[in-house]
Amino acid sequence: MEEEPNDAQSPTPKKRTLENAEPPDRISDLPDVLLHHIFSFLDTRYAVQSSVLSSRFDYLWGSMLHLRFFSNTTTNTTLEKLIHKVLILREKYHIKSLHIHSDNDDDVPHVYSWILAAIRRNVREIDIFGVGDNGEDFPPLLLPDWVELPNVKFLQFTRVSIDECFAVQLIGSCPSLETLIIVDSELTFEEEFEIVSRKLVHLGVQCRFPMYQRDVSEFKVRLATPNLKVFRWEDYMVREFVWLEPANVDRIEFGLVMDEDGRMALDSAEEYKKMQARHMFKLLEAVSNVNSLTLYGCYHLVSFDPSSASDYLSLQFHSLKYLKLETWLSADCLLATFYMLKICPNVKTLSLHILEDDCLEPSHRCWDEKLSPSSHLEKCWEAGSSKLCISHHLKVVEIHGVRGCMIELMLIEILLKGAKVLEKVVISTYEEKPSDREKGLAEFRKKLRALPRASSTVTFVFTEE
Amino acid sequence: MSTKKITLLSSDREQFIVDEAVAIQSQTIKNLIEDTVPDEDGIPLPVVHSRILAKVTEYLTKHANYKPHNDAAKEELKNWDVKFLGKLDNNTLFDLILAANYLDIKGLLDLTCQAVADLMKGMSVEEVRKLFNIENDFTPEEEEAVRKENQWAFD
Repeated sequence: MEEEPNDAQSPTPKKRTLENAEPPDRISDLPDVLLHHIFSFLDTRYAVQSSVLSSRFDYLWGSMLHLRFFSNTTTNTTLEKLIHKVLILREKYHIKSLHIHSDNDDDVPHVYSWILAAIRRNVREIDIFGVGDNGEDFPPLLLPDWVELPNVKFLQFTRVSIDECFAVQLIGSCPSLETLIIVDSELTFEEEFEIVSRKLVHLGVQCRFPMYQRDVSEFKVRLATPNLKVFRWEDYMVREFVWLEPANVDRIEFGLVMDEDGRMALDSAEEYKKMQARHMFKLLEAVSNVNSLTLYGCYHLVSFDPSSASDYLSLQFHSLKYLKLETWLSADCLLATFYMLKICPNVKTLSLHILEDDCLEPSHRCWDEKLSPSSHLEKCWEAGSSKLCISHHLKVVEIHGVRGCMIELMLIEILLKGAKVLEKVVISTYEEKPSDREKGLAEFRKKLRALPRASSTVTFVFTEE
Repeated sequence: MSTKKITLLSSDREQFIVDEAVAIQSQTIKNLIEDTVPDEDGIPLPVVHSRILAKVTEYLTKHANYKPHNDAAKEELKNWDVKFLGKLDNNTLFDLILAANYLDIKGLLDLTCQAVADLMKGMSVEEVRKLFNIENDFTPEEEEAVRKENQWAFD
């Protein structure tokens, strides 16, 4: 809602001439709780403006329990002033959730006072999204020592900078915390730290290092989270996870964080890869009873280092039903895909997301090769057809980012041969497709349909991303 | 999966037969199944008209097949929701909000309330009044006073 034009503010309200023909005013009849629910999807600024609508709406916002603020460059009232005013005017009411979306560094110093004000009003959910003017300049967060947040169940931070002290203190002061999500943020940690949270169900961390912390050594994270069901951790895989109590996690998403342009953020020296592979195996070993597993840009590490892989040959995921893999189109990656399918014999849905190819070493590029298979392709083919155990459970295969090249066709051919009860193959093609590729994709589809298959009920679905 | 059927009875006593898994997405229906002896004609929902209950069961049937870990299904479901909303007039939208609230179906309540919020987004006060036919019962002086009081949110 914006300031209405002057002519709309005519001194006499419009009289209705056709009272009965007008549709009824349904919104004013809603109970307060439903109007609040509707306003909870809007910027609280609009909820305040709605006071002018009619007496039904006057100060209705004052008792709203879910507040949502966005910085808005077209208005004069700054986020700071706006939040301050709202918090003062609805002093006596609790706050259930506070969402703040700021794109201004000037707001950073106020974040603490907003959080504190919300805590004093018994807040349960805090969601802070902060972006500096310059994308790399994450505002840092700190909390005073005495904070207690007994009611907070949900915490989400996006694009902020968090250090270990803050994280540990925050988790420690929220005994009821069920969800902690830190997205797209800088997380600076000491070498070892512990997450002790009895009620935590969902832990999601996706972080990058601050620029000055690029030369990393290994870190250890100890987890004492008996009720954790969803564990998502994307960073540089320099952390070793130690589960202090048995992990009964249902869903794991783990792997390498990408830079904003979708590239690997760190160079991939061999000793680095070894360390990453070790951390991945260690984690997977501890959580081998998961239902859903997603690996981001890392699972090909299984074949990078056969010596470390052999230590974990016993790795098996018998309860796994859903497997999602982010992959490049290298022979190594495909070998790893077949390896994963082999150790996850009960998977029903396999979702492959093909990554941009730019960050691959030249020897891994396969799609330039025309119909004559290179040694890489042959190696991959042999491994795939000989090692893939016949799958009696795989029903759905989704492949995203398909470009229409040979190696993709081979991958699908191997899957079709092995999957006895396959029902659906979803092929989602890469969004940027030059016009000369159009023809290639049509050809690709034709070849795809001609492939032999073990299951008699396969349907193909083609979509575009 | 259980294929037990549940009969729901609308305010105008029309019967809707759905799978139990579909019906119990409504917390209210779930409680009614657990706590009460059903009417022989079905579970009575005295505040939901058949016209609305048809929409509610359409939504519930679609969402009962939701697979939380499947990206393609998530996307398809989202598109389905958009289409579902697109077919509703404002009057039905408000009936659905009330029904979702009474039946305690969080997904449908969020979807419909968000839809109303989306309608209001970017509109002036006068436009919102017109959209929902809200009668401005302020005197010009009162309106001016309310506006002044909240001027900080307009600036």
